[in-house]
Amino acid sequence: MIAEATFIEELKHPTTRDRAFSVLIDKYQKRLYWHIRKIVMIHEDADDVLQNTFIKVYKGLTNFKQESNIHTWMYRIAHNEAITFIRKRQKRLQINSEEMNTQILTDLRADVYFNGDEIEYKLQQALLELPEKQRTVFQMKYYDDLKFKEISEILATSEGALKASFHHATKKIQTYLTQ
Amino acid sequence: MNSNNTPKGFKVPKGYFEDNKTKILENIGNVLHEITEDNFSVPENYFETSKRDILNKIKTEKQQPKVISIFNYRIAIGIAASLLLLFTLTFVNQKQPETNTIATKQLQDPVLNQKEGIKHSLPLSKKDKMLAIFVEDNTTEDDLIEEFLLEDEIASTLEEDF
Repeated sequence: MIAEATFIEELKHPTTRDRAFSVLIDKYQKRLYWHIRKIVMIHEDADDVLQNTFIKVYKGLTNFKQESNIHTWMYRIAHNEAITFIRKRQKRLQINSEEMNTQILTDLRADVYFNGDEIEYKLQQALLELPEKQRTVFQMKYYDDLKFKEISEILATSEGALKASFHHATKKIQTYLTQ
Repeated sequence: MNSNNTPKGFKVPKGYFEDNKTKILENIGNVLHEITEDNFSVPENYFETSKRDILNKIKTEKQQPKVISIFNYRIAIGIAASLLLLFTLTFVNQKQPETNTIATKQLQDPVLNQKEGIKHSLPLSKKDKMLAIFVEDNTTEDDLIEEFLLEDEIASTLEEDF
């Protein structure tokens, strides 16, 4: 905790900021990238969102109040950026969320950085069928290996509600894959 | 088998099925995790180039002069309020004396200022305005003649009486 406080001080101080920020990128970019990628699916989109996330983090560092740890705070920014990206794209294409999911799956098939077979494709379909909150909780729990407490801080939702969402998500995926 | 589907003579630890359900769900998650991570990939050296791109973008952002938007909503509300105040002071204050002047004129000479009243009434066509003037003028003249004749008749009657 003391180490994190010192690190944040370095991130906030103009003379040490750039060096500390470089360390911050090294430490978190992979984790944030994969979180974003599981939401937007396509590599190019994930790359854009990741860059925007780090720029927002950089700009927001001076106002970071340390009410949560920096890892949780960055996750929240990345998550919001990814969701905003999807919504903006949906708005631009003037399509509803179902059509958007179809669009994402079509793009996924064409993505050269996706090597999945039919089973994997079906899994992604199952994930996209889930309501946004259930999908997010599922992804954060299993792919990002976050604790419910951390997810609760990121999404500002009670742990109980998250556990229920996660349970529903798992059951739905199970049903979808065994159909 | 009994009603719980447990074969006669067999038992399971307390809460076994609940725990097992959780384990199954956890296993599904782990399997999904492995499948997915293997199937999504990134370009070679992506994370090295990505870091460089992020730092370059930040450098560019820092070099750009900070633009402070003056058109935020508070300023917009301020401008709108000022314009409204200016409009009110300019037009409302100008209209006030005009109304007072007409009212005073009409009090002093209501007949002659009927034209003025027409001029300030609701929009009328040119033809209507002209007709209104003639009608008002004729009425006034007739009234004056009638009044004159009436006064003349009263005077004659009074002369006869005396």
